[in-house]
Amino acid sequence: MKLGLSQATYRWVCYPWLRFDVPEFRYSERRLPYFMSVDPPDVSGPPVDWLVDRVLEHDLTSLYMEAGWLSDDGISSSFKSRMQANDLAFIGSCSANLAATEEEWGDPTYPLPAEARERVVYRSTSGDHGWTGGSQFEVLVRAMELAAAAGGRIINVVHDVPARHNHFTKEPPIDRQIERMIRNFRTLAPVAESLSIVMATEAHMDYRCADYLAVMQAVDSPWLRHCFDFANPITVIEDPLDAVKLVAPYTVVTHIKDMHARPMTHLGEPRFFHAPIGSGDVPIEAILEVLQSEAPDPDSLEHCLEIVPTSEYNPEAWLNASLDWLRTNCAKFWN
Amino acid sequence: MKLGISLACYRWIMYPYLRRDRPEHKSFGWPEPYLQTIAGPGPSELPRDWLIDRMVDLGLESLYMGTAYLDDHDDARAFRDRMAANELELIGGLGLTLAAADDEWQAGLFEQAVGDIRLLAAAGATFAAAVNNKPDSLNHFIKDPSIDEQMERAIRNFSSLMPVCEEVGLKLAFENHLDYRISEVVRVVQGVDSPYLGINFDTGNPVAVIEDPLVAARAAAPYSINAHLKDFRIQPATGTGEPRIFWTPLGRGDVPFAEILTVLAEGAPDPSTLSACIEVAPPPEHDPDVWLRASIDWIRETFPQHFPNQGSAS
Repeated sequence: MKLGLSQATYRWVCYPWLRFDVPEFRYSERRLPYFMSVDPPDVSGPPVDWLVDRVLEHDLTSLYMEAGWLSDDGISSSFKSRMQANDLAFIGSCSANLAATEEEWGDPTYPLPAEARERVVYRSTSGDHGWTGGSQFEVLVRAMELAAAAGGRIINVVHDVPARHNHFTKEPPIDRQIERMIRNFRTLAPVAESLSIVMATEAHMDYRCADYLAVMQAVDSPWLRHCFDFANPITVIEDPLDAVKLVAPYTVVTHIKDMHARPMTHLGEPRFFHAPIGSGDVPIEAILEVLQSEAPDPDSLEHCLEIVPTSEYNPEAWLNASLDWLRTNCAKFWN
Repeated sequence: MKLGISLACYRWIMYPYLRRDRPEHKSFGWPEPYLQTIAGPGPSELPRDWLIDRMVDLGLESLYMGTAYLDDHDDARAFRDRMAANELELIGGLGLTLAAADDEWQAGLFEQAVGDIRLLAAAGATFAAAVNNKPDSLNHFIKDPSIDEQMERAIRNFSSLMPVCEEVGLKLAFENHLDYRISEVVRVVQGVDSPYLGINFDTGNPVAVIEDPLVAARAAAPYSINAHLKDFRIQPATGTGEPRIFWTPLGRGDVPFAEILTVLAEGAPDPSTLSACIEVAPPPEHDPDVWLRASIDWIRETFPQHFPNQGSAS
């Protein structure tokens, strides 16, 4: 198994719409970080090169990154060259409303017409980000095309309206949401095959791994697999170790992170906090054992560190501590 | 089932060490509780008498209350008589270091627990929820001692209390109290294997230990002799990436009450004696009585079949 980086580790440093050094950040009422050991990227565009620098700095082998950031042909070709030159794997990311109705999902005809390629664009500014101008299907197709063109062999297809549809929302109930996801992913499977890129579902603080397992089993395509996130099951009240046992046979990439559970608090409301890997309550080693024995190809499995402390903390320090812990305590798992 | 309340509903206006009208409360930096419909017990009012008044006013059948509000056996008997005069049932509350090491248990904890059991029996309780009073150092996530060791200790300690429970006719109900999973609670109850130890199933607390409440209810039901009704809203995705769990009035959160109450009604050893005590304890700036009354109304309107003595909503 290998260690990689998720862009989300640096979300408060490098996301144009979240970074702490833009004026809009202060309106968010979040605390400022005062002791940062990594400089934010240039503000002029997507932080693609900056992220590759971070991967190389930490001697990692892969980068999980938004495919929409590669909309510019120049950025994309430069990124691809640099990743190949350094023998780095690119795992793309894209998102849409996976539980969209048939109407919201749109016409699943592929290839997209030329006018759709012009119409569907990705924007990334300090005030806004994401795809615009297309149906959910069109957006995902464009992202998959960009990721494939940049050398990606896996792309996480993430649900992007977790506040509207998730495991707990009732309209429609979870069973109906799963039916919609099955129908929607079925339309994407031929696209993935055509592009030779594997789609990965991810429990992304929205659904349980058990829910995604039902989707993958029903779609029944080798082009639909799973990205196991070590901590996200907690957010939907699913035990991470139980969860990985369900989805390990489908897991082709992971987001490795830790979370600290504080079941009893003064207010009586349980809390769950980010933690450097090894400092929380996620059974990291036990999960790695399951993946080592159950994942389809453990030798090539990239574990992308997604260390996402809240904005007042130094993500570089958390990432360093997490890497140290993993390389020291879980050394037997790494190639 | 019978419908009751837990005194914790009023924790921020009633607990001497928490009530929000203490000057110390202001230093916590929380918002002021404006527009309240209820105040806590006055200086000359006993909290337990104040609670009985609340019960009568709300038309409820049982009250969950611990030993902290009973001074001695005479006091307990006086309380018992007032509860009986109002046809109210006491569900006792017993704080235990239930996973204490043997030497700690023998060095005073056992004796304390026996005294509390006798006091609750004197107050008229025939059921008492038993809760872990060291949730910070003993819980599902603690590694030292391991969860297996904690459960073995709990089996040993609970077993030592069963003779006195039998003697005074009081059944203990091990509660999942934001500390252990029901799967662990069941392990202890099965290990003790006594008719004097069952479960007080809290409907919301499984969430705190990453356990599905409905799955937990199914496991707990055959042993459930009491319940606490609690709801939480689960917000999986947030701007920080850390999920949030929030109190809600019953019926406004994500706990599947319809399914859980059916599971308890069909699977509990004796649903007719099972007191389901509402435990809704909103943050201190909220009005606990508004939350409680809304919760009671919702239960009465939605589940009249499970609470035959409650009639319709007020």
